[in-house]
Amino acid sequence: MIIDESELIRKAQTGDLESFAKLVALHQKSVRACVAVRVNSPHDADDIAQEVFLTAHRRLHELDAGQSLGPWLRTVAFFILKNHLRKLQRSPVHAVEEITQLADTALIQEEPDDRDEARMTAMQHCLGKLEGPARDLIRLRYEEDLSLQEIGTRLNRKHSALTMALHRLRQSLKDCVAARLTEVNP
Amino acid sequence: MNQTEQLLARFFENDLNAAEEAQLLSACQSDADLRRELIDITRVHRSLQWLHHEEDTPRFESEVMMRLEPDEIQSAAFVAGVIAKVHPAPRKKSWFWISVSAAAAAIALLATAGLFLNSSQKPNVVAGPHVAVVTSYTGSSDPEFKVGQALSIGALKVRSGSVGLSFADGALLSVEGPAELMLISSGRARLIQGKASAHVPDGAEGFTIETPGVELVDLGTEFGVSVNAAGEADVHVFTGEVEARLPGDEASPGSLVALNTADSRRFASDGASLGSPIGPNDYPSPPSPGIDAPRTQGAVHFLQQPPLSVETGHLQSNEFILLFKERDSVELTRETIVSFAKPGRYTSAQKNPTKIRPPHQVTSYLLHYDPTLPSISPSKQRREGSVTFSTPVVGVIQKHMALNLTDDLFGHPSAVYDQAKGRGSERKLKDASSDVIVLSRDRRTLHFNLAVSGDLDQIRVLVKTPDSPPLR
Repeated sequence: MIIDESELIRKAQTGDLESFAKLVALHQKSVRACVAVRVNSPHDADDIAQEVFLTAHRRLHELDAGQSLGPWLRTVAFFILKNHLRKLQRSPVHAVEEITQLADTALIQEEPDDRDEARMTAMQHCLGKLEGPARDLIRLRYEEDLSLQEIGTRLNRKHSALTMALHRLRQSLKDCVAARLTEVNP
Repeated sequence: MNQTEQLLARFFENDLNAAEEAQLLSACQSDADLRRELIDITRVHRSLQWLHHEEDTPRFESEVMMRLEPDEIQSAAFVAGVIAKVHPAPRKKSWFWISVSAAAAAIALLATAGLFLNSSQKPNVVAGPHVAVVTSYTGSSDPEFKVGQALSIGALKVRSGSVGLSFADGALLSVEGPAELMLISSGRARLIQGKASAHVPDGAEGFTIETPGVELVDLGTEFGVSVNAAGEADVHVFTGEVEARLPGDEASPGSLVALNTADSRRFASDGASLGSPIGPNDYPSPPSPGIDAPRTQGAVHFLQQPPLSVETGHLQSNEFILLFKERDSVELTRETIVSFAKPGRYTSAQKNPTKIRPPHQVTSYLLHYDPTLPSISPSKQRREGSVTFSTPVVGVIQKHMALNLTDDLFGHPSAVYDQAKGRGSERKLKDASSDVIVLSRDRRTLHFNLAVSGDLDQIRVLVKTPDSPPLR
């Protein structure tokens, strides 16, 4: 199906909700991916991603004819993310939250590019290449949401060994994603 | 792996004590390489969380549409309509949809089993997903029916009194005893003997009642049906349209007879039309919801009567989220703390309670969801539904302490509440099982997306009492 985005935008600007819903459907993945890596809780992430679309809906008239929606939505997303972080930084925090905010601050100082979705796709590719015990470990940790203790009992492995194994897996996934991105889009 | 790297590894497992956290923080602040590592691994960690987090695109989109500006029509049905148009691919009707062959097998099995059942045995329980829920029961001699009880595929005997059923697909059925029927699926039942009336709201069209000689397919309507001992079926259409499908075989499919408002017919057990059907007053009254009754959609079903008990384990179902009216016209004389009162999207991790101030006259409802899955292995399944009230929602209470504290004021006087357990919809497990509630801009529709995990969820909804003075 070929969708003419500018036509959808034009209709949505006149208040056509069905067109707006289609625009949400087209861009939700990229906006959610962009927000998900910049917010600590996955549920806050979806809330903020929805706010991005709500703000976009309110200000859709500011979008010029012919301007593409993707980059504009990411700018809106970064604006909302910065506000969100500012709110978090106002309340007193423990060191652990400060560490998280250190990462958050750096992540929202990046240029809002369209690479988050590409990174997610690359990550999916890299996950697909994982085999056996590595795949199991990631699955138990991230899909089943098990604690390290529960994973340890299931796999009969020590807590400290699992911590390190997971860390190394994340490091190698990071390298794999970087390599995949240059491979696909040099 | 050096010491700071070990700290970093344990940081992502939430495994640092306060001193170690402080140590890692100062290391990250002074060491640019370590900081870069923290940022990169954070991105990987969150990507992994997100990719394994349930990808529920239609839910995300419908929530966005629910949260839009006030001047647009915000009913759940409207949003569902928009989303259905955007996702034209046939969506699964409900996860517990049963394939025709499986249903047929279950019926064959039940029919055989039925031969060995005498009337003192419980006929209505077959393991498996629930297809309907009891919304009302009048009559005392049949303790097998309790309001709020979910029913699986299988035989159902109503000895006396009258039973109201709400099917998972949305149709309402009122059955008058003595009657015998078979629940076949979330949108289909067979009336073997007795009388019943159906109300089929928008979206539940296609609800089918089988009788010995004819199959009645509802096209959005109210109708009565009665089967006598000879297997003859009477039908009367109160409003709308019903399609009667006469028996046929592969060579010559049965013909269709359209029945419209005020039409009535009698069909013999071979499908032949007979004369003199019973009159409209001989059927039970159709279970039409009242004007002020909340309109429910999806997995939320409204109980016409309050259940006797909403304690943990008393009314369990993975499929049905129950809603009932607790108390009418409660005069608020002091400030009441609620979890939220403004339109928006709320998760179970919601922290900032708010106050509603008198004067207010409110009517309270309780949403009850008690799935049977064990809480140890949180399921990724969610159950979704919505309710639209005729008056605005004034406040929603979802924390277990607040529920306990308000049972006396808002609870139904005769229902038994569970004050001991964590009954609220607050977060009990990790993020993945977090519940989501959306209050629409016009404050009339609440949209629920609840995790199917083993914990009891209760949410108390306070709405403005109809015809009470306007809100301040």
